[in-house]
Amino acid sequence: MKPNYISEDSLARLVEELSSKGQLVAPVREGRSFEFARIKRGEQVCLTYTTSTIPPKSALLPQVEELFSYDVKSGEVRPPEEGDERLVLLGVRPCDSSAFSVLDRVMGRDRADPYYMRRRDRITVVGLSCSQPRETCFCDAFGTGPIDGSGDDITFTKVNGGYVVRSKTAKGARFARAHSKHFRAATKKEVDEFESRSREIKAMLASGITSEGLADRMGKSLEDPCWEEASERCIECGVCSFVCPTCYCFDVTEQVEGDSGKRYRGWDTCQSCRFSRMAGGLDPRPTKVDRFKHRFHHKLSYVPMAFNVMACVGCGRCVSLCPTNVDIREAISKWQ
Amino acid sequence: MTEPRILAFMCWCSSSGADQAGVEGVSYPAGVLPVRIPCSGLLGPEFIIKAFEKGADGVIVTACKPSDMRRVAPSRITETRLEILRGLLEAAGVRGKRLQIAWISSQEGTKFSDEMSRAVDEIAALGPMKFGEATATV
Amino acid sequence: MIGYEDGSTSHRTRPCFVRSPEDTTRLVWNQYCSANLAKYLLGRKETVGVVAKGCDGRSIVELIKENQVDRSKVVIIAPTCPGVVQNPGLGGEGPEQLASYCERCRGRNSPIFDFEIAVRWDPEKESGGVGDKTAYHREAIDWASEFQRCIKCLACIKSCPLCYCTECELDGSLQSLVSKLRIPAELPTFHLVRAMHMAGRCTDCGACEAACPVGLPLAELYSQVNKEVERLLGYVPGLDIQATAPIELPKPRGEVE
Repeated sequence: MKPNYISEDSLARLVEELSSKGQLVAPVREGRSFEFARIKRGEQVCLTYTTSTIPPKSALLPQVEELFSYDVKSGEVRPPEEGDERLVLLGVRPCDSSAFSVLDRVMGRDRADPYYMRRRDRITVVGLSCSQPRETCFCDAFGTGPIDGSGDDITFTKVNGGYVVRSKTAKGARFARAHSKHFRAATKKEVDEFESRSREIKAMLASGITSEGLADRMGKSLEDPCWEEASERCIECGVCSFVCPTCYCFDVTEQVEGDSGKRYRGWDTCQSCRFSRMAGGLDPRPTKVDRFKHRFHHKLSYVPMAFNVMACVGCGRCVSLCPTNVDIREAISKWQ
Repeated sequence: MTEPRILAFMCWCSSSGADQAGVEGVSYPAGVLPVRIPCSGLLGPEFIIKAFEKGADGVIVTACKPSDMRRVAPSRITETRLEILRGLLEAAGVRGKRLQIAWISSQEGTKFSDEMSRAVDEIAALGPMKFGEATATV
Repeated sequence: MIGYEDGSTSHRTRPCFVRSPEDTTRLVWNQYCSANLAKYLLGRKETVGVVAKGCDGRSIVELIKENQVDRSKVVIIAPTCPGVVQNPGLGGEGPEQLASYCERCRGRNSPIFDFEIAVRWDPEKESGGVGDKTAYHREAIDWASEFQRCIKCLACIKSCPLCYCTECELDGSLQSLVSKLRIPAELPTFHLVRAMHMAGRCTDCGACEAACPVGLPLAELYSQVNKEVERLLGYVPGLDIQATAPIELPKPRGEVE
């Protein structure tokens, strides 16, 4: 498929069109950082953003989600009220988009998660290639960036005056056709620029980490004493889980008022001391080092072995935001 | 103007002031939801804050007067704790007057009614409580 | 010995645990030492050394009053703190700024110590600390909006040395006050209750703000509460090991005022 091009001006018009229909989710400034938000008409979208604090997985797996509501008197159980809204997620970085592919495998296999799948189907992912990798980026270790994300329906890559646009899926091609008035065919000059920029940016990512053979070696590391030292400064806060684009563990709760109630699920963290506690007081991961080890083993060994994909995409959020600077790259380097 | 929704935490002794008001035939404002507790000293700020979360426009704490008590400490603690909480509420954008304290002893039926009316009026004057719009992430 | 070492990225440190003399070469002391190491004193039976900023030392004072730290089991090393740099989060790059809570500093050296090290920080030098660099300031804070930015990660609680309750009222496990999940209506409740728990105890170390991934100005809220405590009770946490903390009240039985 031949690449297209969209100028900055045309993109602004596309944003205007989508936001006026209430369909656009994109990065906006939030104080000194960035967040994905539902864009209201005229609101400033920021596509020169580095990365968002909360990953865009929140569009697929909201932090709190109603599962159903019920009324004890009538015996009625109602599915959640959800508009059948189709959303465009604009400006998703390749690591975050590749994380969608990870979540797709976990949530979609065997008994698929209907809440996740419904949202996934209704979303069009407009990926945005990176142009300025951060010190903490290591997508090269997992092949999840910096230009293409495996969850992209269509990918925008910045060139002079606009973006080179490549459709990746049928949904992406439909999106390009539906908004064709904003796109045109890319010129050879633009394609050449796209290719040379892509090479430049890829060269910037030399983390020195590889995930080859990692799942197996990590799996064998359970008894190694190195984990005691590595986990000592961890304060078990769970920031890592909350800002991670591939973390999906949740807890379930109910809010009851009188005869009716609602059941919700929401994000939880395996780093919490209560996470694996069960009725009767049994706890298979009772100590901090047990829970600490679990995080790395889950992402780098158990998920790969069960779902054939690494559950880390090298976005680096946990590295930047962990209050005690626990660095997953150190765990990977040690066992790669 | 709609009636303000008020929760009144009443310590054991001061709530018999409420009973006394009933005996004397003195009325006190409806729309106040009474919650009897053994002693105001055990009323942690959690209950008051939760009341505001659940939609109270104001909270009244009725407590025994220090001079009525054999031990002063509980009333003083209540007073200090609630004063600190009021300061926090103000700092967080909630008008401190939404939290009222009324010092009442068990014999004072009329006083109870007067104090409650005063407290309710002060809260009503502030209008309905609205602490921002709750939002979801994305 | 608990101290700070260089972090894995530039302009960061992280807590480190030194168990041999050779390892002491890892230790650093600079304007990136934002964690409160007093946190790691909790629950220890053995004697440890700890590096303490002024505010961290004041936390230790309060922990001693609350019987969480045995003074005879901790060796406090108290160098002069240069002030710490405001955590930039995942934001764009910009000049370093002094953390807003450092502007309220009650003393750059710990009030209790076994070894005090006077350090003169020269802001002209690259490693000269933050000096009088402009502090990070926010415009008037709209707390209702700030609370709604919270993601209930509990990093504020976990990074605070004074949060040591094994059954925490705010982590949702007791299902009594707030849910474990991020229910938007409960967010002000979470923060207001936490602020009351900090009354008369918080020493304004800012570890909560430094840990918060979305940069909530938490230390600011707790300092407002403690202004009230100071006004009403004349008490400032951590300054004086002899002073009775509000949490140590009431007076013994039989004593009527």
